[in-house]
Amino acid sequence: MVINRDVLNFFEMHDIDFKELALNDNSRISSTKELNKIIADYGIHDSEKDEEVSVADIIGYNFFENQNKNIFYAINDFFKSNGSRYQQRSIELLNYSSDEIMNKLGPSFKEQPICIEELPGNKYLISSNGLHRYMILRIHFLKESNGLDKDSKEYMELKTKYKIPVRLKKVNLIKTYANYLLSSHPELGFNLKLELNDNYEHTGKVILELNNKQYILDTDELIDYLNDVLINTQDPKYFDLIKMYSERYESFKTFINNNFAYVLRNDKGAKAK
Amino acid sequence: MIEYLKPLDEIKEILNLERSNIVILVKKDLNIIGLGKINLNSLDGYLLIEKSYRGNGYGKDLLYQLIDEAKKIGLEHMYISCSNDDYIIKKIVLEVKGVHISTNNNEVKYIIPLNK
Repeated sequence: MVINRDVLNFFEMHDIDFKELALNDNSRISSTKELNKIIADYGIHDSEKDEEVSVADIIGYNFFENQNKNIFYAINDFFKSNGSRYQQRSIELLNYSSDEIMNKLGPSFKEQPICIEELPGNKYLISSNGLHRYMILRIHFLKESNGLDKDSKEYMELKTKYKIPVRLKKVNLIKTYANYLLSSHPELGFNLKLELNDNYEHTGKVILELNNKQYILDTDELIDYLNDVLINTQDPKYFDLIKMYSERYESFKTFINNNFAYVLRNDKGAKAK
Repeated sequence: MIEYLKPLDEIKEILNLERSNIVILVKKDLNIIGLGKINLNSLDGYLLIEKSYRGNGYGKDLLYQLIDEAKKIGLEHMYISCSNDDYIIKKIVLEVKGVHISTNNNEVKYIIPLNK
């Protein structure tokens, strides 16, 4: 792969051995789809808050046009002085050393918060703003943390050094998994939406649409409704998929066990919850 | 040179676009490189920029143009849907205060308030 001149200069200027560092597992960019396909396809995010999260824990992003899964090569698509406006606009970030970058970026964290989403297991991904800043911060972090034991004091100090203010969108697992079970139902054409008030703010309830009727449900009512749906559903392929995803994703298994344990006990429909 | 054009109804028909929709074409030099529209029945908005022209802010400008046109005719809100891994559209929607309302089969839908 050809690395562009701007990125090569960046690696040279900051003494980053990108070929060596690219071999490290941490250089791999994760996406929601890889980590949890249900959340990628049916994720409901109904709250956000400002928090501090270390770049060490932000392990990727969702950007379908960028196919390169290694950050040391993917950066090539984000910085290019003769490229598109998107590739040119943050080019100055390449000049900042790891010692000065946090200070240089400080004001931008408030003015244009980096937006991330949280996935189960304290995993974070860039969701909708801050990709250029993330790329540079993450590469500096990976260079500095190379060879450190993750339980060491030095690694912990580094994690703290790379803590940044972010706007964190939280995935609501109950609504997400309910959305999956309803939207993928084999017989009934459910559509689930978040209810908004007059100021376009989430109320906490959902609107469930079926056969041109709408039902407004809180979380408990949603679970009760879903329980009735599952009890009255017979399609074995539908339940095989639920079991498969339960094996694959611990948080989904917990959701099913907490609410519809009979589905995994193979006596689906025999008992209400 | 980039231009954002509102086609006449006759042109909309040639392009197979409903007369009643808000439609804006993006023209660069002599080429049409993008299209934005709002279906006035469903209020669903749609943005498309040809791949080789993406990353230059045309999609963002196009959405702002659509929003202006929607406000002119008194719409209170509109919707935009995109793939959940379409980082660029999600970033633009965030800038115009879009609010997430649903996700289905990897398609995310936002409502964009127009009266704020």
